[in-house]
Amino acid sequence: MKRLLPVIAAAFFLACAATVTRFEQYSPAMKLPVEADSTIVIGRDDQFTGVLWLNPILAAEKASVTEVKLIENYGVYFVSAEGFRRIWMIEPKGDGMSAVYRSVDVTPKDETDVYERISLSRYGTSDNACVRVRLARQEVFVDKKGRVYEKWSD
Amino acid sequence: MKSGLISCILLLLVCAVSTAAQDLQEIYDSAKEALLDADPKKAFRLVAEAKALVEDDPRLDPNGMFSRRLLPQIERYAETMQQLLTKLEELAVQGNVSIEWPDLPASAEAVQQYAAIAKEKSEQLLASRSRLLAETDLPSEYREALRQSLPYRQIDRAVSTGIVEQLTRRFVGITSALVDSLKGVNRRYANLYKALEKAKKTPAVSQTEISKLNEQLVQVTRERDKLLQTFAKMLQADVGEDVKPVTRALERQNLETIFTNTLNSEIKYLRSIKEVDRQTYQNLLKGYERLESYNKIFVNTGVAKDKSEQLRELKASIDQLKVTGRRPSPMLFFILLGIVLTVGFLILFRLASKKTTPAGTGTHNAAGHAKH
Repeated sequence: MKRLLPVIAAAFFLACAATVTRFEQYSPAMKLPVEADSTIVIGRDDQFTGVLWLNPILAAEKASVTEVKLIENYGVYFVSAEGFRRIWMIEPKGDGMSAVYRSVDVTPKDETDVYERISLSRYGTSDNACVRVRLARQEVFVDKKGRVYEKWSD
Repeated sequence: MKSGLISCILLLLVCAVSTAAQDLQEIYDSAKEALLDADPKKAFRLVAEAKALVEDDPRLDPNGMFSRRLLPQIERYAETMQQLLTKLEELAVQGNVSIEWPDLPASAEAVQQYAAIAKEKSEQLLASRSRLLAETDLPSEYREALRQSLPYRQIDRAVSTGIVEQLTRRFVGITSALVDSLKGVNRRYANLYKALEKAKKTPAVSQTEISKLNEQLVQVTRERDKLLQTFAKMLQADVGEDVKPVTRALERQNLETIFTNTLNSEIKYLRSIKEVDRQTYQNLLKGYERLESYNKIFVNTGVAKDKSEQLRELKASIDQLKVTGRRPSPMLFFILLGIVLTVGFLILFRLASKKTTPAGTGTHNAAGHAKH
């Protein structure tokens, strides 16, 4: 029996390995219209991956917008819009029905700063990419944990 | 010279700064917008710019999403769009090539045939264009964008202006001969009318000869109608924005006077007759309606002034005619039916009362007799 254990363990690991495939979760930046019920459909027309409710985010921003910018980096969605004061990170929970969200202030020195001309893009390497946020007057990098950097190094 | 050099350097600097300020995503979005403006050349340029950016700093495209997937896709679309635009340009050139018209003698048939050739040419051009767009595998938004492109609109212009202009030029070439034909037909009509009037007053002329003259007059009326209809069609095809060559040609050839003469001669003829059969009456009404429609077209195109007054006279002349063998009106039919039914009921009532009355009196009598 003891002799068989390594074989069983090897078979177990092989079986586990066979169930995993590479799945890179990222996207280009998207401009998405905000529906009347404060939802955005992630994707286009009949090709979309989910519907996101923005009600709490819009309430926190005290803003009414018709369009938001969104980018996905390692399965986390980064959302912002013209007139917002923060970048919102939305991470889907495993239940397929909800997500946790938090905000990142990329201009912490200026509390009243309102974002203008926002541009989101991914920057880095395939294993270590962040979201590059470009605003009218500056550029910062936000990693997958929400930490803000003025410069990005791999 | 010196100031020119400085401006050039400044312009280059501005361009360099503007490119540097754009990021990969923005350039990609601009390339898509260029395709939405049906500008594949600009899309190609922006794709090249984006590729250069990634080459400079590969960290701008962490997973190679832009360089491996999105930019090559834009390039493919731009290439397809460029090919389609070239084909549309070729088609637009075909649309402007002069049509080889057959040399037909000036007649109503010639006008019809020329119009049919122009129509066929237009339809062929539009069908080829639709086929080109339908066969492409471009996404629908880029296909729609092509409808705003210059060669697409040039084809529209070739159909609405180029081919029509060629057709109207052809028409102008035969207006003079057609107007002469109408004048000739009007002369024949006048001569026949005179001959008919003379024949009616001459006791020696047989009824058969009068009928023959009448038939000839009907035939000439038909010819005249055909020519007027041809002019109306030519004017309707004369859709140039400022210069309307057919209209101008017909004005020059004084179609208005000829039309007035036509109406007057028709009125004169109608006043000379007192009665017509039902078929002739119907034909006269249809003829009047056609003349009314020609009048509208002539007035709308400015070839002639409104002839409503003469047309009213013409209608009045038709209305005054006694129609022989006229179909009884439906009202008359119902009145007659009513009379027949009333008479029928009266007879039945009378018969029924004759049957019951003797039997009743008989019983009474019998009873009376019994009592006695």
